[in-house]
Amino acid sequence: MSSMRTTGDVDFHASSGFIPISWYAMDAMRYMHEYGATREHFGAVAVKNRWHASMNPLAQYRKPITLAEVLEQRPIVEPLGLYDVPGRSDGAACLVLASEEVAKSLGKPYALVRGRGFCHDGSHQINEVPNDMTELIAAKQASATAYKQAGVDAKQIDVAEFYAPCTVVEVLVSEAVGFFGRGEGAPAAAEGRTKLGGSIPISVSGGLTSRGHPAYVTSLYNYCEMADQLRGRAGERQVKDARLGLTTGELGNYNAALVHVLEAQR
Amino acid sequence: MTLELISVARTRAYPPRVSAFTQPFWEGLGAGKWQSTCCEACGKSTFPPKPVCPHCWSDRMAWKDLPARGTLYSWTRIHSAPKVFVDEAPYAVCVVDLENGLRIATRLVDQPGKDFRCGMPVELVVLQYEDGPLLGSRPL
Repeated sequence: MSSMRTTGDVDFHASSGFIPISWYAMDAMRYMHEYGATREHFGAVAVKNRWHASMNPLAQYRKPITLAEVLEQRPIVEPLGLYDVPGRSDGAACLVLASEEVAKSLGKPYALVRGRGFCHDGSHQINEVPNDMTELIAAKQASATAYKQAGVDAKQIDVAEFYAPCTVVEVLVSEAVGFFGRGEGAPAAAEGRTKLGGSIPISVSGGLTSRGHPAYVTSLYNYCEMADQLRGRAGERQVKDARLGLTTGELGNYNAALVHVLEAQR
Repeated sequence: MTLELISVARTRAYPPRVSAFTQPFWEGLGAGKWQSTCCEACGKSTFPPKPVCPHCWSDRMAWKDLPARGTLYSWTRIHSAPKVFVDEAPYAVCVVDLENGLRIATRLVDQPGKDFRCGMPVELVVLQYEDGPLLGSRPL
């Protein structure tokens, strides 16, 4: 549904035929131009997330795929192909919130919100004053706020669930929240650093491309995965000793971002 | 600045909303005139046109011509289009940085012999559909 609607300013963008993922595709094209990233780098994210999804009974697409299969898919929004973008999903998600006193009284593991950051960059898809579009400044600032509140830094995060509809977005967010330097997110993904067992597992649920992307539900869906990870309930795809988790939600071309840092209490 | 008019033998799939305020823009564009509002207080142009300056909040805004050339910041070709655009797919769209420092987003029009690439110079053109104009960019 949502990934196929027209988008942007209704007077001056929508008539040209922009769709939500076309903005991410333009991020990809620019990022490749500036940093020499390749379709193989982005494809590695799709392969990795499908592998994660193969261990998630709730995931929409669970059959493992190869990099060659990702690269041979038909183009959807160049340079992104079918497996770089989300399919259509329906879904529901639910979290139970309680005061810490109540959570403690149950005698079971729970997760605490340690930090929260929100930022809107003030633009509608693009900033009329040219900026670095692939920097995702809202995610950068929101995560800085969340880290500060939590009293932690990016290096301490054990697991992350991003709102990343396309493979390229996961790469860009991994840089914006400080896991990798600019231009290093793509090679890091290709080297396996973001997979289960890597230095910072991302989208262990399978992410939006494989777990599924029921738009409007997706942000909360990410928190469900994080709640499972931090309570040690993620089964085969459990990140060992996960204590600090980071989640993101967004709108536009990450023009706004909401970032949480959560902590396991066991 | 007068832009080249390119005839397109169809109607616009998703015509823009036109308000009393934006009517001068669309009427002008139909005649190749590329303009937006410029702030008389701080001198900065803005696009889309606005009745209040986003830089200094002045409401002393006047229509002013914009440069017809810029640089291709990024682009994509959309193969899977929403139902309303499916007859035009695949089609390309882009983000362009104009020579006066404004960033805009438009359709991207083929120029035979020129592959699209980030950083290439482009010029703005008017796509003259049967029912009205749309802005486009084309490699130089």
